[in-house]
Amino acid sequence: MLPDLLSALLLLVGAAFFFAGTVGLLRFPDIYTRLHALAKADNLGLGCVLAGLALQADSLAVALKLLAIWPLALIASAAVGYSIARRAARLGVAPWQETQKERQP
Amino acid sequence: MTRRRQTSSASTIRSALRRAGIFALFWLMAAEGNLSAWPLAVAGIAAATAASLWLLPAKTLPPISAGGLFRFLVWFVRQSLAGGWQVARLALQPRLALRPACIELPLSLPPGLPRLLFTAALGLMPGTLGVRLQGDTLLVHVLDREQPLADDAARLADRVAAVFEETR
Repeated sequence: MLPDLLSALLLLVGAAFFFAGTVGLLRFPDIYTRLHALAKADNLGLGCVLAGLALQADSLAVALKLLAIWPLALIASAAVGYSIARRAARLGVAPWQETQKERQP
Repeated sequence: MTRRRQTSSASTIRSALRRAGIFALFWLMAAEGNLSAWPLAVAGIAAATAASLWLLPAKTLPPISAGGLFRFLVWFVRQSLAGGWQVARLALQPRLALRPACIELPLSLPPGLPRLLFTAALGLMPGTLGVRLQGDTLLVHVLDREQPLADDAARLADRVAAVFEETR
């Protein structure tokens, strides 16, 4: 009973972080800020979803397999985030800034 | 000369065995402990070990401290949770409160794996994203230009340095 409850909670929290990451992808103004949203929020969401699923796994082996996905996805997302940002910088994509009026202190 | 070659080939063999052991553990996990496909496992582990030694030869790999790595991972998971939380809040806030900037960050870590780990970890920490490694500086994109980037980076650099510190 308690594991099921905890699992449901983790899945919901994970979905919320995926949702926030997607909202960031749509709302944030340029490629760099969108990379922040995708890499960071989705990793947290994936961690929660995997932990929630591992609690429902039939065997320890399946649970470990689910949990092993997280570090692998983390490595991939860190490498891909850096690669996309570097490519954008090479292509001369300027980072977005607030409007001049707001920037005056 | 011969002695040096001998020790380097011995370290390659030791390193190959260690890596094959890690890949075997991954296989066991992926196969959920089922050994019926062991010929495929042997081929896969051999190929993964060969690729790993080719991409990251034993002599370019600095010694790794187990304690330092463990402490780094615990700290990093906490930081990446904070990073996800912060950016999720920024995304869902009614008013977009971004004040991004690109900042040149001087690096104190040696080139190679330590810098790679630093750059990768920085991308998952609160508000920072490595954009370009060039010479001894890393161009960092930050979500808030007021955030204490130098302090955060120094703490991360200390943790990364502890991972590669020789224990013997």
